[in-house]
Amino acid sequence: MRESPWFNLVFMFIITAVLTGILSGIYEFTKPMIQTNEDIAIKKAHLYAFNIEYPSEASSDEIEKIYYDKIQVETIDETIIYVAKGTDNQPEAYGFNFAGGALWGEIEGILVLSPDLEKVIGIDFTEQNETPGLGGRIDEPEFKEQFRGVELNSDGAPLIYRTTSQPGQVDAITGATLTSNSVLEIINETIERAKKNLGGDRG
Amino acid sequence: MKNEIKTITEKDLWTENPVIRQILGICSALAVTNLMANTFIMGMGVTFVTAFSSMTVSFLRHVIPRRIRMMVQTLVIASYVIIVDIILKAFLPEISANLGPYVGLIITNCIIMGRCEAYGQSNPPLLAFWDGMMSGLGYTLVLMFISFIRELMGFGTLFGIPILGDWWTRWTIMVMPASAFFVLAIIIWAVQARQSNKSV
Repeated sequence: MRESPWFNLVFMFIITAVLTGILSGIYEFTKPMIQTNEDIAIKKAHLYAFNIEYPSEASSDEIEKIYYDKIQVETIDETIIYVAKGTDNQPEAYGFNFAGGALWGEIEGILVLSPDLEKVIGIDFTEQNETPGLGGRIDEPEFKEQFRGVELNSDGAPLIYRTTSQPGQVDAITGATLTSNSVLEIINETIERAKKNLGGDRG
Repeated sequence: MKNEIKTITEKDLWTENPVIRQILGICSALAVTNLMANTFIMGMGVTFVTAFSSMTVSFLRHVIPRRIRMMVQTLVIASYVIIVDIILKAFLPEISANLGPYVGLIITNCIIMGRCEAYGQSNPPLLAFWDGMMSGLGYTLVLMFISFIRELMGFGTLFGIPILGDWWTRWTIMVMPASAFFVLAIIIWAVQARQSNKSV
């Protein structure tokens, strides 16, 4: 009986049902936790890009509170824009999501600009799969910190890498040219888009 | 039983170590060994999956039809791998982000199916569990050793804690997967030399 094809089929069917059943149970049980983790990771990245400090041991509730105290989410022309407002309710910084392909896969993150869109406040990545130790170093403070307070070029590309033959604002990562170039390209595109989006209401 | 446990431990950790003697699990030995913290979690994941898959296959060994046993084993292994993935995402989100796709790829680790086939399906559950756990640990030990060398030379740190000062020039090659080939080959050579000396 054990060698009959029907038994094989029924056996496979039952064991698949049982195992997937158990898995769905575990998945359902941990789903809220996983979503919270992902959400908090994104909020932390945003706070970092906005240069808003938060205690490193902060619980997820505290992070949420700090986040919504400082940052408002608005939609202009179907684009999500994060706005940090000061005490007098004047915008202090605008944040824009960015996404694009790099060497190994999609890079996602947030770019924060000053209200006049002429200075970078900060950047952070929420998703990247670049080579660890090389392209992956875009996610290290050493790389991200150099964008803080950088003045954008008014003509040509807003941001340029510094090389021996050409002045620029930021350094690329040695040994990760493709990743570095992709990041710069994505960020420059985002800046152009931001200028278009907010061009009108800057008056 | 006691003897069996001792033999299994000795075989899996040393004389028949899955990585060094059976050359299994090489793929992840190259991929996740540039940081010790990641390697440790990966090792624990593989150990968990190997132990429980082997035990589950052993429980079902009298019912599984021979012809479809590999399908069943794959299914069992895949289930445990997904459990590890979900647990990491829920409780250790940062490590999960670091390991990226490699957690899901535990399923392709030949050690796991190897143990199910070679041991789990013909031995009682508790011994199968022990055998799986020891094989996983044998794998973890070798990987930890590789990552020790790679992280120290590539980043100057161990478990992310700076060990070597600024004078140390980081070996970028040690961060790249290719360096694991060199380190692994040297380890295999050293262990084989030692083991063959002994048997003479």
